[in-house]
Amino acid sequence: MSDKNYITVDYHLRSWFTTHDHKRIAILYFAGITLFFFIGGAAATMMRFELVHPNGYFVTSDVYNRLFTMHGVIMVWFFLIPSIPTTLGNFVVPLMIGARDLAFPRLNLTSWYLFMIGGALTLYAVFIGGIDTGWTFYTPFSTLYSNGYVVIAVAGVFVAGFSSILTGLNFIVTIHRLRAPGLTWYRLPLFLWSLYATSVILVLATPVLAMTLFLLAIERIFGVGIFDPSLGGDPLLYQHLFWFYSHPAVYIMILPGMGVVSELIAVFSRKAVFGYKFVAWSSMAIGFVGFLVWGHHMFVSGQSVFASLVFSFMSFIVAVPSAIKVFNWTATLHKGWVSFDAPMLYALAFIGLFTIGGLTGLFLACLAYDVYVTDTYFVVAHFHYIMVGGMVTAYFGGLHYWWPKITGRLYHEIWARAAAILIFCGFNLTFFPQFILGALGMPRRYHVYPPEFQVWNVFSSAGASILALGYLLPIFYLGWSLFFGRKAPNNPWQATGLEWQTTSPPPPHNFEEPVVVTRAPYDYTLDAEAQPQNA
Amino acid sequence: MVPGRYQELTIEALRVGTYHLFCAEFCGTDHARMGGQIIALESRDYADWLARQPNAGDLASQGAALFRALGCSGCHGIGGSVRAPPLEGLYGKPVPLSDGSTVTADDRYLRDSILQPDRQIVAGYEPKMPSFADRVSEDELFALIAYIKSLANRESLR
Repeated sequence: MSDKNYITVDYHLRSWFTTHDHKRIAILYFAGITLFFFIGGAAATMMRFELVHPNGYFVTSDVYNRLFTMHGVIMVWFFLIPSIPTTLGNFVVPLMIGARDLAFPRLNLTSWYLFMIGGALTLYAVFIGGIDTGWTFYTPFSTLYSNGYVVIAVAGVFVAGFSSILTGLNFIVTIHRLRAPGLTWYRLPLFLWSLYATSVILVLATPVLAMTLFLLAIERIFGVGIFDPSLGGDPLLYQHLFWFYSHPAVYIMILPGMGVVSELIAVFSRKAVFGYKFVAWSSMAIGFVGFLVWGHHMFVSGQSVFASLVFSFMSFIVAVPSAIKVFNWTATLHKGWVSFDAPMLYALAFIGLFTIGGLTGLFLACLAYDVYVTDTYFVVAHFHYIMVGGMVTAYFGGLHYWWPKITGRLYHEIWARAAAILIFCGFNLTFFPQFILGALGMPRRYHVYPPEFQVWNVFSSAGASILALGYLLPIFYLGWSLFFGRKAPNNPWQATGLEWQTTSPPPPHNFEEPVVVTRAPYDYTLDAEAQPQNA
Repeated sequence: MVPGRYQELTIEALRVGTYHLFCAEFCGTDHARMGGQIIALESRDYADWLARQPNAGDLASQGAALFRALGCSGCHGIGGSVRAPPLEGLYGKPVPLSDGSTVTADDRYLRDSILQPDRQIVAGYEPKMPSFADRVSEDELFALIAYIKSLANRESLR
């Protein structure tokens, strides 16, 4: 058995679908979210194609409304939220803390099944006719007027939410209980701090989403007045409940990306992350303050001016821990021995794009300016800089970084760098023009627009085609590496993390011998070999 | 965005030109086609434009015509057969209601009173007015409210 790794230990398909091994479950998740990423991406491609022409030339209004709803729902709940935690997180959390598996392996597999059932329900709603509410399912449109399959789609998101809760619970317990001897909290790699903060949000916020969607379904099916004022409901209640989950959900999406970038910056500049404790606690601070800013989605919804003032202030506060991270990453690069391998290109792209996304978020936290740009392309550009420029870029960075460990193969470095650069250029060409469009006043969710906006839309669509190419490339060179790539050494990056001290790919139970941790992470020096955490 | 709440917005056009008006909250199938224009003119051009309109007259006089056509004047006008609250000098003033509370007669109150007259009954009057919710369009409602506003500085003739 000792020479078998987690992949070769059993080749039967049945062994995959009944596995309790966190590494195999990570692969199952990877297959799932990759599928959803390309379905959501296909919807985006069709939207950008439609927007080349200002007259709504290619698709009808109903089709366009269904496209952006499908894009939003699938990307948010079936790609962005699960992506890093359930694939990279599932794979490396036990490895990073020197454990044999997560605390609850069966629960982990259950989460995957729930996730896939939720995804299947949502896809079913899409294929039998679609949903036209936008990803936010705002009432009263979603409960009274929408002619889409709202209840089925909402049921899909509801079920997938339980998968989120179980994954969060699993990570919290695992990080508390299964750390190897010597692995104190301040010796944890920063990726784990960020996943810990993410898990706390997953456990605390997701139930609110479940309740909200449940109430929405009750109102839509039975006509019970919860949000409809003519039945005695409160029309703003839905928005409060929805954003009470969905703003923290933004941090569910970005925090794991920040964790990945902390790892990458340290390894590829051969230095310890500057201000470790600040970076660690800023994750927790984001998680906490992130619960107190939801009202900035409702500045024009009719909440009181006092509430808007407080939410505006809190939204400025939540930018502080994010800025701490950006400054500390930059300080880590300072006088480091920076190498520009593909994962590092993604990490550097993350820092730049996340900074633009974060700073434009401050524009939106300003009450006066937000009134002007609410529901315009400025908002669309802002959150795509965070979600795609930040989160998806970090995901690709982490995927390339841990690929040799996960698959035991090396990919072609030149192709990987080319894809990273292509994604960076395509991304900026796609989304920077959208800031301009928003500042000029173009509303989002419009496929018929005044002709003076066309030129920026054409730029954006041209960028989207480059971006699509950048996202398709990894399928080929990563796929190629699976079969023809060189065998990966155990520690190709000379990294200090425990996950690199076992074989590539790891054996079924991760480590052949018990692990004892003796030092802090990131013990890199410019002139000597890096010291692994267990050496 | 709160049903029953009306928001007023004043813009000052610094330049002559055509400005877009967009529906800013996703509202359904033809959301992207739900728009309009604000055309800002020099005051002389505006006067010319106004003179060229077939049904000349401002919003308030259109409202006055509607006020008679819909039969409102039968009760609220001079010598009405039914006792109804006078509308002269009403706009902007506090109105005592039959439940003891007081509301200010603003746009929203006037609008609600035309569409849902049973909701807020003026103290000392019988709830006899029918709802006009299905009988007046949004544009006509604006004209009616503009007419009632134009009576704000008049003394009641009764």
